[in-house]
Amino acid sequence: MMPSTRTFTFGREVMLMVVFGALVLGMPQWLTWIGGYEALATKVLIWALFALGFDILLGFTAYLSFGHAAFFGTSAYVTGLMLKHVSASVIPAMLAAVTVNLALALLLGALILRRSGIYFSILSLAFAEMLHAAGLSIFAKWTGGDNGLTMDTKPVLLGIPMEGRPVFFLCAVFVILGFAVARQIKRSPMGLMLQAIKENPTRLEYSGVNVMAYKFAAYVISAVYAGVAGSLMVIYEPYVATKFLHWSTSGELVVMSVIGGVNTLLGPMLGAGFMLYFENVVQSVIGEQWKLVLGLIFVCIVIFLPGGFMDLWRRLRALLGRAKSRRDNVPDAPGSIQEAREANYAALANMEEAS
Amino acid sequence: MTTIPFLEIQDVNKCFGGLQALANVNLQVEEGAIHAIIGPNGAGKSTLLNLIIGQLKPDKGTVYLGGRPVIGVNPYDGTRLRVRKPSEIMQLGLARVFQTPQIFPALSLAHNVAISGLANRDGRFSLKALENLDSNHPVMEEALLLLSRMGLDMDPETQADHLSRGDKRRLELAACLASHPRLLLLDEPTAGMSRHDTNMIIELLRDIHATGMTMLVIEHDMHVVFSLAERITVLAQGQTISAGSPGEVRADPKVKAVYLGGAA
Repeated sequence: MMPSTRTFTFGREVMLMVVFGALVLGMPQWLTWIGGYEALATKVLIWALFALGFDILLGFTAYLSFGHAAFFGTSAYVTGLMLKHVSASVIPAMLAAVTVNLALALLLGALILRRSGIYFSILSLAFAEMLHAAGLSIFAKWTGGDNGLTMDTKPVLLGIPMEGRPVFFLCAVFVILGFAVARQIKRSPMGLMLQAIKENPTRLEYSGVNVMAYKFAAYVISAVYAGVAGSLMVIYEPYVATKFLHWSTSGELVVMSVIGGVNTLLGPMLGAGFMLYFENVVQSVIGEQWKLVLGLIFVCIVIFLPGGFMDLWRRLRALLGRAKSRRDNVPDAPGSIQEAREANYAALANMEEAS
Repeated sequence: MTTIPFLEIQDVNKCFGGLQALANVNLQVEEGAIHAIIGPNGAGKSTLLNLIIGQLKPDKGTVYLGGRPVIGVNPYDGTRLRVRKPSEIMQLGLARVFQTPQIFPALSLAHNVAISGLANRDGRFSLKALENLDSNHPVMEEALLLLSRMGLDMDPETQADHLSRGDKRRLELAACLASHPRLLLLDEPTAGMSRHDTNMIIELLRDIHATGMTMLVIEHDMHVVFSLAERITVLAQGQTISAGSPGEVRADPKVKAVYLGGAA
């Protein structure tokens, strides 16, 4: 959790974003140092954006959606269809995809946000699976069914063909922008309301706050992030697989968020990078067992490091004494209240002695 | 000239199946007063509170807030008033303290209070995502002020669930005050507290009252009731059996009979 009373300084935020931007833009470079390859960087960024948006829903409000593939996939199909049938230009395709996604989020949100906890998760899963089934059956004419949506279009942005580096830069721009926006939401009044939903929706309602409206906002924002990510996926690789709508896509997203650390914004992005790195690089080293090893890592993280990678970072910092851990931030620590209580008790003891 | 009471309950009835939880209950809470509702278990105290905040709908009767019919039956045409969400009703000038302190456990003390302040400033929903909610934010400044007024002198960044029960109650009160209510509803504010903490909370409530705050207290503990209340309404089996000043209520033989049971 972010300290609440630290004064926000624009300079510090800019510094942070510059470091983040440098890391993102340098990714094709530093990824090769650790055995990756350039094209993987683009894929990592797309999933990072997806996971980042998901953290606004899961991390802030603790509404666990098992159906975010619905947004990712729908957006991918809309982008694919636009590129294939309307124009190879990226801008109208992305705009159409995000618009459709927005409408879908409003519709689904109105239906499933009425429930919370496990019921919300199951409902979100059910709707996503329905969309997946629809993509394979009634919409098969457009989606290409099991074969996926293939096209020989080469996407173009303002005359620049979207292949290799330009796609990477496009994704990087969205990730950096997305991160800045998510951070701004987190430190704003709206972000506080969203985090309060997770903590105590009853108290929030009785504070005079329309809990449903804020839930809705978080849901729609995360759907927009998912939509942009889904759209970028098709621009990166002009092909839409039915897997994009499949529940396993939603599942992967949840795993990424958990191993990275929910409600940290950075964590889910790290988780996305880790998963893809494992899937693409580590797999080529250790072979078929990679899923087994990944499963083991996941289990270990959930048991020993429930806050994910970001928790590890926090613990290391606490260990090095750099920053005070919030866990040590017990009420008695500042001393004042403890002293007051001791004085109180002493007064009481004196009174008893005197009487 | 008489002032309009902020809260008025008129002829309210509520049945749960065959059980008459409230029968023709009338209540007026005068501006600036501390009004207590007492009564034995099952008297209908909590039902009455839940009616006021819109959690339950009355079968008959009307609840007025600020002179305006808000819950139940519209007295002018006999139709049912629109059902309002609790957040809508709270926005009309109510704040509520729960029997078990309701706070945002993992949030800081300052944020706990700021949420109510923001709800008061921005209404039920606003997409204010461009402001930075830091220590320079006016809502946060007020939150810090309220925390110290409630005697919570520790680091305002302390996580709220680290507080003791009594301090959680103080935090809840600070949050309630941040919404600048016209009426503070207190549902057994000292339930489960030590005598020492109870007295501290009584002192605090007196301080808050001294600023002109109107309060409606539902309480079991007679010590609390008689240390605070200026007016008392006694409920028993869903009916008002006595109402008046603490002295009058104490002297009422009906209250003795019903409330104190065999002692009468």
